[in-house]
Amino acid sequence: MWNPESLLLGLDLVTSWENLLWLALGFTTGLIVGAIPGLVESTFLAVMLPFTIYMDVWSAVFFMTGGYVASEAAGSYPAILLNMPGTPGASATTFEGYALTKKGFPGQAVGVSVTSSAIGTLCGALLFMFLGPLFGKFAFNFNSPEMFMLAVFGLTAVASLTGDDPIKGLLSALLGLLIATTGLDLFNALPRATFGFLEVYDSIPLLPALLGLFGFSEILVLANRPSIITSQGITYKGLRAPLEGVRIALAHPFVILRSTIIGLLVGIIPGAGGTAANVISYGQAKQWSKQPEKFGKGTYEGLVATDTSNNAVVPGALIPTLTLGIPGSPTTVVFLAALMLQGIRPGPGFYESHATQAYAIGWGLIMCSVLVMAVGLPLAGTFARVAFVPTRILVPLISVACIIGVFSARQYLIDIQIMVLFGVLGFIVKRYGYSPVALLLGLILGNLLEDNFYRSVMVGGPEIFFTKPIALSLMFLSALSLALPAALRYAARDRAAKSSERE
Amino acid sequence: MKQRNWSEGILPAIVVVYGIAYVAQTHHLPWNAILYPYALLGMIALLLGIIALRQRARGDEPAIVRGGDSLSAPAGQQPVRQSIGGGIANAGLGLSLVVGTFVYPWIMESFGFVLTTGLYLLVLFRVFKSFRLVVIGPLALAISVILSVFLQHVLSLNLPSFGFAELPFGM
Repeated sequence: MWNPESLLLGLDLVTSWENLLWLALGFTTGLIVGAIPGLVESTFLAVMLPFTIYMDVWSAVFFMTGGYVASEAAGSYPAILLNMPGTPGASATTFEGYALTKKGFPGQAVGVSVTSSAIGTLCGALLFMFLGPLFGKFAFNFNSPEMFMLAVFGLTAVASLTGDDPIKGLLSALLGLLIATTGLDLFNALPRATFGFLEVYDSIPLLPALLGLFGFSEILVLANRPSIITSQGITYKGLRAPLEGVRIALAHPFVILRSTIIGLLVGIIPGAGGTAANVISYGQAKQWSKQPEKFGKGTYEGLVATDTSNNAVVPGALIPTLTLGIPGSPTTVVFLAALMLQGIRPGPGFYESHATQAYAIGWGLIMCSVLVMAVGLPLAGTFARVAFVPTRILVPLISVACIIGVFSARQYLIDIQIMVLFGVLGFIVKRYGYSPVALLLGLILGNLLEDNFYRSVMVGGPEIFFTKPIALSLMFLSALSLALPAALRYAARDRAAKSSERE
Repeated sequence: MKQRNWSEGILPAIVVVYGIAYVAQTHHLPWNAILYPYALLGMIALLLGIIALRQRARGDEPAIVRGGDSLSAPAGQQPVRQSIGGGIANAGLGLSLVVGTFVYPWIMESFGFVLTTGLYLLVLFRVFKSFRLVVIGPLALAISVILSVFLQHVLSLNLPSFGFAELPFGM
């Protein structure tokens, strides 16, 4: 199962000068983007995606891996120094990080954050290399019914965890699946919902849809912000304080261990992501702390918890993405699309056909953890200043990048208009609490779902889904993933109503 | 009197229109081509019904959702991100961006990549007041020329050129 030869070949692959260069470039770009509040990591990956098509496939994967890790780590820098999370995954970092800055310890807080991020990535990467083959082996025996139910589970989990409401999330996923049926049907090759456009006979092109939902829609949101932040923030000088932060972070081994496990588990659950891990880990740290009353007033323990977990999410989210073809976090939906655009189909069998490359991604993550320390410690303060770039300059430049990215992929002018339509759709979807992630996942998994549905029904009739134990378990999990959040929400509302009655 | 938030209905309206157009174009296809999409449409209709009923029951509850940061931060520690909001306050800017980008391909067909991209940037720089007036013209043109060189000579793409006359450098 764990192949030492593939492990070494993976190291060899990632340490080729070309791949190292792309990893470092992705990492640097990710640091800049991660530090800009409002530009989330999925937007960054979406905007970069068209240009990676021209790269060697694995160089592109390392570029995106570097960017993903760096943006998760860099989101904490403005959160600590400016009270402004660079990415949603750093939301809870502000609670303790900015409180420490206000108390006069910005350098120490940055040191703690950088060290926790690096350790979270490192531990997550090691577990990724250990657990990935296990998942791969488990998924290898999946047939059509299991694949269909797996896709259904992925969609329901993403739908219930990424929107504000499971019903709206599910509607987004179904809309994505419906749009994915555009083009020639599987049986008769007759056009469905093409409305006379020959360019969509294959299906709706993934790249314009993705750039619209994650790139152009974000530009529309950013469009009227004069600048992202107005405060000047607090900064620090030198390396002494951050190095003291390293020592402080290392003095919390149990918090690190617990937060890594939380981050990894949250990452593995389809649809959850850095934000969920960040908040859950913070809550757990407070619950287990000997001094919970100090939380919110600037405690290093809380900062270690939040920043370890949101970086451990990255390797965790990549496990189901690569082994099952079901993304573990909103950002890995874009990662999944990137692999598919490069002609690689992640999912069962990935570890059999691409074991070396899977291990190489693990090694890439380990290298990123080193880079987080090497670059983050001396330059976190500088990267946090990137947040001051005014949106009035960013918006025109990013929109041109989106246009060129979409056009360069197929050189169809209509793709730009498809991007605009999906951008407007994405904007509306976000504004009213639906889930753009579920919509995109529906688009990505649509063909796989329809194909495996018909294949299963032809082999064993509709009852086949009830006779296969794994398919049945996945059906149960799908129902649970929809019912559980609704039940929890109902219980919370009931509790709140009772407590207000008492008052 | 309760006031309804009609903007909540934008997405359901889009979905309904798309669904009707879908059925109009595919109703004559054989059953095995439409069974799956129509099953999806049925489920979508059901969910829309649930959303409509809930909306009706809730009345005019505030609707706009802000970026998914539903965290309970300690007192005085609410991230600034939440206080600046997540939408377009001035619809004109967003609209100009949408319209400008939508017509971009049609203009590029006749005027070529360099001129259209330069014009597009010029308009956006002007609308968003990115730089001083004297700077935006040369800057927009310079960026579009650099992009053109990159796309044509690095990525070897064949870009549309100006359709009414022969311009230097393949513009």
